[in-house]
Amino acid sequence: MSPPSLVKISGVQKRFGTGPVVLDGIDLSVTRGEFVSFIGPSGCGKSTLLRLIAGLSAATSGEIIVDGMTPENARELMFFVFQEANLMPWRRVAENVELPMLLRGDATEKRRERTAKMLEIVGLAAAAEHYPWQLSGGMKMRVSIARALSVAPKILLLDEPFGALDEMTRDKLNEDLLAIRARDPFTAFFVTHSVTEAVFLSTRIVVLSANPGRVAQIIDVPFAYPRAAELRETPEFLKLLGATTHALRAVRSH
Amino acid sequence: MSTLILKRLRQGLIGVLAVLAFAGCGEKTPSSAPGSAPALTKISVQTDWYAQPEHGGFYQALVKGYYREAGLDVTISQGGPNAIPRQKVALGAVEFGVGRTDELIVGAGQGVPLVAVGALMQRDPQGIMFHKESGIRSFKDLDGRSVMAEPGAAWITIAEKKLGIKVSILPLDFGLSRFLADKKFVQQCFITNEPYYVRQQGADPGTLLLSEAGISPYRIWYTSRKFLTQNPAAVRAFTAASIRGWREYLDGDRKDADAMIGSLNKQMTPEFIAYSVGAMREFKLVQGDPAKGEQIGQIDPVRLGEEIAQLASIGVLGKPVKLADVFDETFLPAEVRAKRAQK
Amino acid sequence: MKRRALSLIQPALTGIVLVALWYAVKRIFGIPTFVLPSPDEVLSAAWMERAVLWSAVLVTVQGALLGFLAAVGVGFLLAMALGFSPPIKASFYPYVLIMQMMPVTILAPVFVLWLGQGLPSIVAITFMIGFFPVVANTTMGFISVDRNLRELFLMCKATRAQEVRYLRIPGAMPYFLTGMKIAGTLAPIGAIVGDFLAGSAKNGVGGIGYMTISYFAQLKTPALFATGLVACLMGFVFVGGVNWLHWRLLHSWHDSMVKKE
Repeated sequence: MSPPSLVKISGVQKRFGTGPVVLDGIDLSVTRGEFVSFIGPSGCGKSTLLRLIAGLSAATSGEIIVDGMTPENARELMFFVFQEANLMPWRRVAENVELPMLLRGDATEKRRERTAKMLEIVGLAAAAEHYPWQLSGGMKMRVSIARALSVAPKILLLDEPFGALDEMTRDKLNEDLLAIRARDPFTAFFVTHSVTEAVFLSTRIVVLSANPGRVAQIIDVPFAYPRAAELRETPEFLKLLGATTHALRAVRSH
Repeated sequence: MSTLILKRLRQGLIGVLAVLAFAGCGEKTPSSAPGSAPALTKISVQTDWYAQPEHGGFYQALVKGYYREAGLDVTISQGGPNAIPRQKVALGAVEFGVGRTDELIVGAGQGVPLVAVGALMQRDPQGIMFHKESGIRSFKDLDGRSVMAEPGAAWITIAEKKLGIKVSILPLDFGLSRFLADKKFVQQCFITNEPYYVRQQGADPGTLLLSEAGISPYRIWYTSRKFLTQNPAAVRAFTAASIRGWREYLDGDRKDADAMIGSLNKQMTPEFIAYSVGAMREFKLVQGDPAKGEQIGQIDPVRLGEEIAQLASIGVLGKPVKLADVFDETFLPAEVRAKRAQK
Repeated sequence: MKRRALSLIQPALTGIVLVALWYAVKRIFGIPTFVLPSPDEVLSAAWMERAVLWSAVLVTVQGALLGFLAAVGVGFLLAMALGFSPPIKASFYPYVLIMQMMPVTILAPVFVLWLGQGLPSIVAITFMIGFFPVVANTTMGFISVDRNLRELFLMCKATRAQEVRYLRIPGAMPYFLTGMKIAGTLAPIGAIVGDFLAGSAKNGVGGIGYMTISYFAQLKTPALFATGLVACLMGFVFVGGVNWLHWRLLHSWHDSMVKKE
């Protein structure tokens, strides 16, 4: 018997108002501990799908169940990492990281302790008192991740978080993300344009077609964790990379 | 006499008249061919408020043609809350202004060369207005009160120093609503004007003339020293015609003048004008006290000299002012001038 | 260092040229003092009237400060109401605009009738002049909250009150402070105009607006100019203070303040 799904998406359709259908007939079942990436051409609705799971948007029809609840009710289990770092410019780094805990009502001491720990994990302990304007893009994104992790979410949703960064930084942050996940496991949903990133990070890759967004193909990624940087150069990796790219191209040409 | 000499005489006379006409005109004369009748001198008078009976004599002279007879083409410009007759006369924009002697003296203290040449009122109609219920009976009762008055007016400083009182001044808003709304309100006014209106609105006003506080400016017409020097004939003519107009306005048939005032200023109903002129008569504002030898137009150098000394003593003069700076008696007809006391 | 010195020298030189021009114009056209006093006449009048002018400044600053604080305080609260409730905004914003459009010269006598002469009316007039920029800007600030940040708060399951406190209010600060800066520039003017219309004087000494009328009536033009000079200086100091506050609150983090390295 297959393990019970943590997130179950059934027949989900999404359209905005009277506009065109953005997502149609999405079925997906994700078990605990998976790392699922969504890739596809522009307009395939991958970010929209992510937001539906997060409960930031509601499906027009169909249903999404997160740990037996609707997405809105399951918010305590989830956190979102946005495309932009989305930091509050008037708060210092540490104050940004502690925001979710503050809103949750955690005690000052607990917040301070956990913030320090999170910043250490992302390697930004020295920047705790800085303001966002003083940080580079990559550093800001790491703060955003630290913030997301501070509430120890069961499910982490990431919307092209590293899209604006250069490849080297991106590779490094990918490795960091997996390292963090190894220590404190979470189930991840990841939207990206980078096939390499998808293959490196995921357990499964969902390829979506556009107009409307449909699941075209789901690719399993068999590599075991922990995954080292060198994995990217192995023939198996490159083969899977090629296959995934091929699948993406196939979807694009329609 | 031979015809040639007569002819020369006639030509000469016409020539002299033409020259006189030109000399008495300044820049404003319409050019006239030599040998024609002398052109009228254009004169502008800037009054200090909208057309009102307090300017009655001027309108009388205008409407009855006395200015024209004297060789002047007079235009009377109405004033208002922002009228600045002193500045206009000093800058040469108009030839005559209407105001008070204390204004002129303070101006002279700032180096402004304005000269009074005749008085339309022996007693300025300025005073204060209050509700009878407030219990005010004299200027001394103003101590510690608020009075709406003209900021910087000399009478305020004089009254404070002379009577040893302290008054809080609110700038004039030229309205009556605050007076009507507050029984304790005290307001500077013309006794020929505001009391009528507030009585119409059901208030019971009491008034006190400034002269009852020992402050006695004349209400005068004045010109700039420059115009005086360049155009003495016009100044003399204007003065004489104005005195004539005032005499008649007060004691003669003023119907036409009142009609003109009414047409310029809708608020000037016949009833109001009657009240105003009545007040002028009652308080002997225009003619003054015949027992003291006062009459319409007169300015007594002794009294004016005392006023200068008074202003100097309270320290409002920027620099010392001599009588001759602000008054020239020679433009008044001889019979109107003050009689000198025998030394 | 050099740049600093240059930025002081340039306006100083221009000032000297302007003053020379002033003297020249007066000499060439023979303009009398009661129309255009010379700079030394103005300065000498300023010195002679210094006690009066100092009192006038104090009175006016009092009105400006209180009016400014009222404008900022009430403006902020009103903006909160307008920013957080679309029905309130739709209902009340037109009236806010009407209040702004109403000329102060019409409102002033009404205030005097209701509030009496002197400081209360001056404060009310200053308030009327200054509060609209605060309301308009701050409302904009409350409405313009970053959508992504709002979603962040959604993810955190924040309550409306928490969103207001931690997101909307800090987010609106730059807008509010801009409005405050504008109100700060208007407040001295408002107090002077208020003094014109509703001020009062003891012993011939009133606020700057009152003294302006008084000097004008007495043809004391050097003193009139001196009053203008003093009003200018007062304005500079007042605005300088408000700007400093603006800098203090924003300099650590706001785009507009942060120096690009």
